[in-house]
Amino acid sequence: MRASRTGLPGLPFWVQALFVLFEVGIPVVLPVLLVGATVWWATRRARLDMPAGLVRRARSARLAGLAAGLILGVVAIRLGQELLAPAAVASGYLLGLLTAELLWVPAPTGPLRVAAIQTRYVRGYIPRWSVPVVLSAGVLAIAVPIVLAVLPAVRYGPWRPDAQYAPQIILPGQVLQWPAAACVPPAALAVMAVVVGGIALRRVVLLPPVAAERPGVDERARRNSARAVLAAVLAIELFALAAQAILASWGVQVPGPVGGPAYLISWILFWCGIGLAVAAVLVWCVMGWWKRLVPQPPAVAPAGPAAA
Amino acid sequence: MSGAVAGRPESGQAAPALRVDVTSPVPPYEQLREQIAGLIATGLLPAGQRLPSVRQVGADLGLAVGTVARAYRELAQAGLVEGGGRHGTVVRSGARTPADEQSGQQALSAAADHLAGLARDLELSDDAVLAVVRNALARMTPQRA
Repeated sequence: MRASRTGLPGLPFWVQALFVLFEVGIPVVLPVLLVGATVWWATRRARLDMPAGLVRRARSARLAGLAAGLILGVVAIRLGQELLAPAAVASGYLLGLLTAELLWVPAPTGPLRVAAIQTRYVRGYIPRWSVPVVLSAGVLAIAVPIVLAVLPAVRYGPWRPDAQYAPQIILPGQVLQWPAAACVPPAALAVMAVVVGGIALRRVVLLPPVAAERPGVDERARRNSARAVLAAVLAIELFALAAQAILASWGVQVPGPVGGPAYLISWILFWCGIGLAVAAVLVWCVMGWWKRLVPQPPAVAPAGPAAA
Repeated sequence: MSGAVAGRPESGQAAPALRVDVTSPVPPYEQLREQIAGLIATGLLPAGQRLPSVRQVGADLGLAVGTVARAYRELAQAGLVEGGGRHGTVVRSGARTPADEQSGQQALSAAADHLAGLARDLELSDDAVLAVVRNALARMTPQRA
């Protein structure tokens, strides 16, 4: 890099710096900042009437996950997978939540311990609409590369990468070409999100009661954790679908100034991708919000007869 | 689903609670077994009621999964619960509760008193009465092929 006479870096440096800022800032830093600010605001101790340990656990897990996601996002960009970077950030966040649920579980203490005989189910802590939405998005993410692989009318546009660098996936009997091959990693991320999210949700249900003297607090903590996991899963799926839509838009781009139906479809797909990415960030921020609404806790009867 | 979903209680009934004193000389699995058997006997856990998974109870009480599993296993051996696989552990319908067994013992004792009184009235020997009872029991026992 050559410095100018005044000691400041030259124009190429600033152009490159702007390019890096744009390349890393939009897909990685922006979601991290937005979600990080949401986490910080939502888990401010002063706003919450919950045990400090639970708040600290939630905040630490989410911020550590975001830090891991930041690293994963930068790695994805370094590997040339810019479109996967936002999903990689959300994946790190999800892994942070899972790690907290697996390793950082508050253990009941004291000689006398109480537990309600009430089966807890995952579906009791997430919205009813979320299961069909998550499953549909996962199926759609898997279907996109399949459709692109069998679609005979795909016409490649001017942005098609050179055959030398275009990703290929070798399958038994055939080779999956671009753009179908490029849509496989987002689909794999979406599937990973569903699997890891399912494991994390099952762990959330097992969160033991930590505030027996304040009924409802435990249920609220489980619900908040479940919503955070669900938010991450949905964000990964939407980011994956956004990447696939943008890739597909490149796949149907028709060269030439005249355009045509394929050209229109291409732009629709492109803007669908942008919209899905924006929706992913919104869902991630809003659903991960720490709900203050106190649910009606299940009443606990007096001690069992043998304990009396 | 017979049990209430957490966060979405199906009824306003209170959920019974398990209490374990880890300093008690009674082992935790025995405390659990006694309490659940008592709740079934008193009808607080009705037939078909799903019990929480051993993992959930273990996590809630800070006990090893094996400890809770042992309590559930002994309840299953006593005929109070069934299942334990993918569909969870549920209270058996028609499970013989301690209350059932107590009332059965009382009825049997009353019948025995009646038989003994009749035998004395007829001035039968004890051996003769016991032989009659054995014959009756043998007739009631299902014949094996």
